[in-house]
Amino acid sequence: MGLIEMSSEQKLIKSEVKKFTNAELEPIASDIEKDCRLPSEILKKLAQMGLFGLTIPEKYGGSGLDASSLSIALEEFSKSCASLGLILVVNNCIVANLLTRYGSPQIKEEYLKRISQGGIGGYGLYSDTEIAGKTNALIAEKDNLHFSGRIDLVLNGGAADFCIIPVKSERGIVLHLVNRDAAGINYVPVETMGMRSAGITSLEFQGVKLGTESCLVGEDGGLEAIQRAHDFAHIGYAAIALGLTEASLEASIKYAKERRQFGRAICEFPMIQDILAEIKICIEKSRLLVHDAAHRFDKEEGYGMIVRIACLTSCGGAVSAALKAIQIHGGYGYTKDYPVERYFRDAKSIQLLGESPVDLRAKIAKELLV
Amino acid sequence: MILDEKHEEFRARIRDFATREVEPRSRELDRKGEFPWDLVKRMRELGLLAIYVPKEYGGAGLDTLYYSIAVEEIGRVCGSTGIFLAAHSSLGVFPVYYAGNEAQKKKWLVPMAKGEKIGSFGLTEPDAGSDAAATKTTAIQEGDEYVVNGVKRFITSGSVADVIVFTATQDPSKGYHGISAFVVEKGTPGFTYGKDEEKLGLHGSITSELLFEDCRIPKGNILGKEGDGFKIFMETLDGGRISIGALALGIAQGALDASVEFAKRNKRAGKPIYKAQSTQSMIAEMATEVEAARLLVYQAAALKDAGLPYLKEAAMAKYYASTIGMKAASMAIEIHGMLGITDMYPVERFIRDEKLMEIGEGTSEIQKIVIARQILGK
Repeated sequence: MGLIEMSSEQKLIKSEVKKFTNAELEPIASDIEKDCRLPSEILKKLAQMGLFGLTIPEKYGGSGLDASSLSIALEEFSKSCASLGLILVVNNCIVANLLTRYGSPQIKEEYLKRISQGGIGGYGLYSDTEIAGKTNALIAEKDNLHFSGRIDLVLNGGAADFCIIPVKSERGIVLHLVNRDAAGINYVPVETMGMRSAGITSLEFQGVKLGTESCLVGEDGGLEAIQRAHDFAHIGYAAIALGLTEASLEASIKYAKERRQFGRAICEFPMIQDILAEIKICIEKSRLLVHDAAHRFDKEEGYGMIVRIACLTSCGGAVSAALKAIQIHGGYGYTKDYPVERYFRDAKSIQLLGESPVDLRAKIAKELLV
Repeated sequence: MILDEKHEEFRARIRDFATREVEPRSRELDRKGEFPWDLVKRMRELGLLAIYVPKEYGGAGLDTLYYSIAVEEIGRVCGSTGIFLAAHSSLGVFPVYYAGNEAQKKKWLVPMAKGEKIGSFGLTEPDAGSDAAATKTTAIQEGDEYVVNGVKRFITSGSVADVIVFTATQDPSKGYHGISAFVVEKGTPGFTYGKDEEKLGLHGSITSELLFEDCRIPKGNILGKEGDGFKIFMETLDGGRISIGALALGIAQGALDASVEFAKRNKRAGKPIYKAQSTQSMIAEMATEVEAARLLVYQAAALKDAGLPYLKEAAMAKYYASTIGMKAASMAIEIHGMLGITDMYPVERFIRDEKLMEIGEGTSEIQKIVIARQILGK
């Protein structure tokens, strides 16, 4: 037996998800990605399977499972459809996590239950990049509760029933909870390279009132709140990337066995075998790291550094594996007739939606140098 | 690299055209998947469609270095327009220039060089990619005609081209000795198109399937002699590698330039992005590798112009420029952060476009084999 031991419950999750993805998701994954949509019947089924609220406490209708179990489900989903993996990460790791930790009893009752029953929560990505001549973040000024501006990237924005929005204030970050139908809020589609079924949008605000009633976390706790949610999300991103890497390997093996050039299957060429071996090495490395990170997160023991290492390794590995998979497929790999170009776009996107590789490495070093 | 004044002047002229006319179109071409007819017309007016072809045949009468610079500069702002230029010049025009007789040159080379006709090259087949000698398309002589049957795939500009050079075998049992090169013109009965590919990148470039069903072409449409096909397409690909190297280089330069601009204009965590050591490290790496790729591309072009062997150098130029180009585009996305994966910036397009440079006209794996053979002998 290897280092990773799955509980019987986790084995069940894995096999259930696998059954579902093989039967319902895999056959349509490429088409829905082309059209940038995620069919509501798929989402409904996922909610019925209890996956939307996988980590939400049972008393709010969730399954009350941990990060390790979630990672196993994400890995399995993302082999077919990484966009769906992202929706689940945002729902569980960010939105539900913040609501569970900071929501009032009424908020939890209302919003957590909504997610458990198939609702989608959005999350405005906080970016510390300031684009010259453009308001790209909402900034709270004293006594000014009416906000105008734009958040460039909102995860789950497309189908969100409500959204958690970070607003920069003088001393920190305030998190607000805003319903989709709130006046003055406009979700605007964004063209992204990958994760195109995940409903990533922009959010425009025009004179929107954000006061204490919508405040989820005040400015003293905002940064810490999102840091923990982001750490959790990075485990999710790493698990998605792991699923993508496995998908790249599977596609490559299949193609390399079928494709014949120079009188033999191309899998007989050492250069091709070398690429397959490299992808496999990456999968095993990433899987150990993802499980270790999730395990530590669940036990609440010094997980920050290992989460970053897992995310860097797995996301970086997914990008390079997908590029190698395209290479093995040659001209065919460059077309949408095969899924590998989608794996690449998804992998590159997931790598950038979290903290950038540079920042992740900087944080690792900072921790080393304490 | 120190280029002479004339080449530098030429570069400035092309860069001006690319910045003013091509760059404003590139995002839209990518999003809509439009073929840039307007830019083709402008490149024709500027005499860019057959730079290295002698003036007597309608070209600009310049050398391969000029041509490389043009592809590089167009590619810097738009991969789709760049690949059109490279495919037309190196793949459509070259075989006729190289192997055509005077009558054929007059008929096809001159209008292609003048840009009145678009050229394309049908080599790859569904089952003959890296193994191009495995051509299954047949051309059987019947009286004064050849009857062609078969399918070509991944043909750049295939369905928009007026003149298509293609390879076919007259005797599959002869392997590459049985392959000849022919010309087919748009509209010839029996010659139709399958689907155009939906691709990862280069959305403004058309990639077609060519279908031959009992297509009859005149006997006079063969280039060179029967059995010359292998030699003609190998020679064509050797030169083509320089242009793909130049295009890969141009896209890499575009990624670098976009990164520099973004880092200078914007701040991250309250600090100008260019001041971060991590940014500087990436910029330095990209710039060094882009420069090295440029030297390789120009060296291959200069060798070709001098009439010296350039096979190894062309393969190195393509292999290296596309490899570092992917790396540069990836770093450029990192410098842009999460916005780098949106079409608000060109860098995600650069990486999608650049990936083809590692595949088209001989994959990186094939380039390595070519290079190793040259070094190790047979």
